[in-house]
Parts: sequence; C-alpha cells; structure tokens
Amino acid sequence: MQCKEAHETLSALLDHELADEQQHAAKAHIAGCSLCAEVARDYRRIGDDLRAVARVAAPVDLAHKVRARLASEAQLRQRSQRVAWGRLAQYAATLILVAGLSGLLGWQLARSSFEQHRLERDVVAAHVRSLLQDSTVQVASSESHTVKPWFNGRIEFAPTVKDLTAEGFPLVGGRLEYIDNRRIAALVYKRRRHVINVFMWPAEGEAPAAPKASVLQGYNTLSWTAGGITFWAVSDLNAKELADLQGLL
Amino acid sequence: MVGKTPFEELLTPHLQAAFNLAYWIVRSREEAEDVVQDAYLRAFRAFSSFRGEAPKPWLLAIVRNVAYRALHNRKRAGNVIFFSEDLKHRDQEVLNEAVSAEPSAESLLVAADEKQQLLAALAALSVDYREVIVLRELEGLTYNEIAEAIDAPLGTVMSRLSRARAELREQLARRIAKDEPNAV
Repeated sequence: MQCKEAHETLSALLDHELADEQQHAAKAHIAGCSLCAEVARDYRRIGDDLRAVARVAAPVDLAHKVRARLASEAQLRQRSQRVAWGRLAQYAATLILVAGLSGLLGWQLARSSFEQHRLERDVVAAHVRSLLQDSTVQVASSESHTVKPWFNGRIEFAPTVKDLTAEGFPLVGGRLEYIDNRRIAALVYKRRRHVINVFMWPAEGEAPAAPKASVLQGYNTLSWTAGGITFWAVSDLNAKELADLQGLL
Repeated sequence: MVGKTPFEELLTPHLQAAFNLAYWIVRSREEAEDVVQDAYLRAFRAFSSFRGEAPKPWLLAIVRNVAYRALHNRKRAGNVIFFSEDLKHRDQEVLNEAVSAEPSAESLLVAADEKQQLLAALAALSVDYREVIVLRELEGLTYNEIAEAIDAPLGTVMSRLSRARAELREQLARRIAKDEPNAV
C-alpha cells in the first residue's frame, strides 16, 4: 500500500470501519511508515481533545422547555377535536334559532363568528405567503419614522408603527396587504428567529375589543380593536410572547 | 401531559446530542435552543412513522434539517433585514460562546489556549465537514448511522470524514505555527 492510499483509509481505520483485508494492509503500512503513523497519532489526539472540550452543554431548562412544548401540542390536538364538535353544535344552534325565531340577533352572531374565522384564515394565509417571499417587507427599516411615512397615500389611515428593539421585538419593516377587499397595512416584527406579522385596518365603528387568541395551522393569532384600528398579529411565536407584543402596541 | 411515553423514553436521552449538533451547525446557543425545540416537535408529529430503528440517528437527521433551514433563513434574512452592524461581531461572539461553554472535567487537561485553537479550527471548517466530525468524534455514531443522519451514501461519509480530519489537522497546524513563529 502506498502513502496516498493509506491516507485515504487512515480515518476509517481509526473508526474500525474497514473490511478485514483493507485493515491488515493499512496497519502494515503504518507500521513501516513514520509519516502515516504520525498522521494517525494526530487524528487520534484531535479526537480525544475534541471529546474533552468541544461538547457544548445544553441549557439545564431545555428538557423542561421541550416537554412543555410537546405537552401543549398534545393538548392542542385534543382541544381542536373538541372544538370541532363544539363548533358544529354552535352552528346547529344558530340554524335552529334562525329558522325558529327568524332571529336577527342569531343571524348577526353567526355572521360575526363566521367573519372572524374568515379573517383568521385570510391573515394566516397572508402571514404564510409573506414567509414564502424573498423578503417579508417592501420597506425594510427598524425606524418607525421611515416606515410610517411610507404608508402615506398607499392606504387611507395612519398605521401604528413602533420600534420595539429595546423590548426585544425589533421592527423589520412594512408592506401592503389585501384583505377583506381593501388595502391594509402589515408591519413585520421579529422575536429571535420568529417572524411576526401585525395586520391593521380601520375598525369602522366597531367598539374597542379585548385581545382574542386563537390557533390556526399551528400559528398563534391575536386580534383586538383599539383606537379605531383592528389589529391581527400572526406568528409561530408562542402565545405568551405574542401577548407581550400586544401589550407594547 | 406527555408522561413516560415511548416517545419520551426514546428521545429525551438524546437531548444533549441534539443540542450539540444544532449548536455546531448554527453556532449560536440561542438559535440552537430554538432548533432543538422545533426538531422535537417535528419528531413528535412524525413519531407514528418511526419504525423502531435506532432513534438517535433518526432524531439527529431531523435536528440537522431544522438547523439547516435556520441557517438558510438567516442567510436569506441577512440580505434584506439585517444591516451590516448586526452581523459584524457575529464570529467573535460565536467563538466566545464556544469557549465559555460549560467545561467538562477533562477539559482542564487541555490548556486554555490549545482549547481555543481547537475550537477555532473546528469552527473554521465548512459546515458539511464540521457536522461529520461532530457526529463521529463527539457523538460516536457509526458510519451507517452518520449516513442515515446526513442522508448520504456510506462512501460519501467515509471520504468526507477523511477529508474533514485532514482539513482539521491542517487548520490546527497552521494556527499553532502562527502562534509560535519561532518554533521550527
């Protein structure tokens, strides 16, 4: 065996991954070649040293965090099954109400809940779509003074834009979206690797509403109405931190 | 609650390995944490399709996929979102993080300086070399298991490991030579 060939089999020899025949040949070569023997020694030493220093210890609470996420995932599955039945019952009740009492109220209720689901589907779709693009934003800046004026003349209201870098939600920028037959504003924030889309449009006479959280296709959504604007925040970020962002806006 | 399910019994023993691999691919503790959590969630969803083969390479393959996606997203995001300042200090940070990682008892045997050289040399490898070194030297996977984890043929594993070791040895020699200009 030549040195060149020996070099190529050296690594596999140390790992005990050579067939018997090759192993004998490689060993015989090393026994008579100080150069290759030195390389083998170096490889072995580097391996030992790596094992001694290069292992990066996982944070102590990581197992706990993983378990918590798995538990909420399992719960989510159960709940979504329950909710599916619950929703069916709800629609049935609404139908009976409409048929029996021709109740305007019942009709309105069903419509607003349907509306809510439709909007939820639309904003989650817009969120996913934004992630499929090369960029989630049309104006990329963490400066609210750059992003806010960009919307002038593009939409008919002034969106709420805040730079929350200090609070751990850096502003990425903004873009236009088309939801519910109108142009609306989408602001993009980040939390670590998580992208958060915050959609907003004029509330049109709706009363201020407390945040409502829901989950669709694994995405957390949060909707609320304040200061005459309806907000929808969508992200794969956990619900708690999403609520933190809502508090800051 | 997720009790002592088969899932938990099979996969929690490999949490440390999962984190180690994730870290050496994305090279950030914070991101590695996110990667491991995502990977376990994915593994949990895919667990019904797991047919009782070795759990460690199966899990590590998932971790690797999620980690690569994180790397890819970071690169893509870097084009639009980050301004250069955000990334400037990244490499130094990575080094500091690696060096300040919890030392094991044996690490005291290796001088702090040598340790830094070794970590820097490992960090300087391209990611496809680095991952096979991590899987073999740190996690002790067999070539078959590495092939499964990185989704490559056995021959590729063998040649890549061989080249990765040669490259790592060269890196190290260069660093040490630069450090001691007087040494012959």
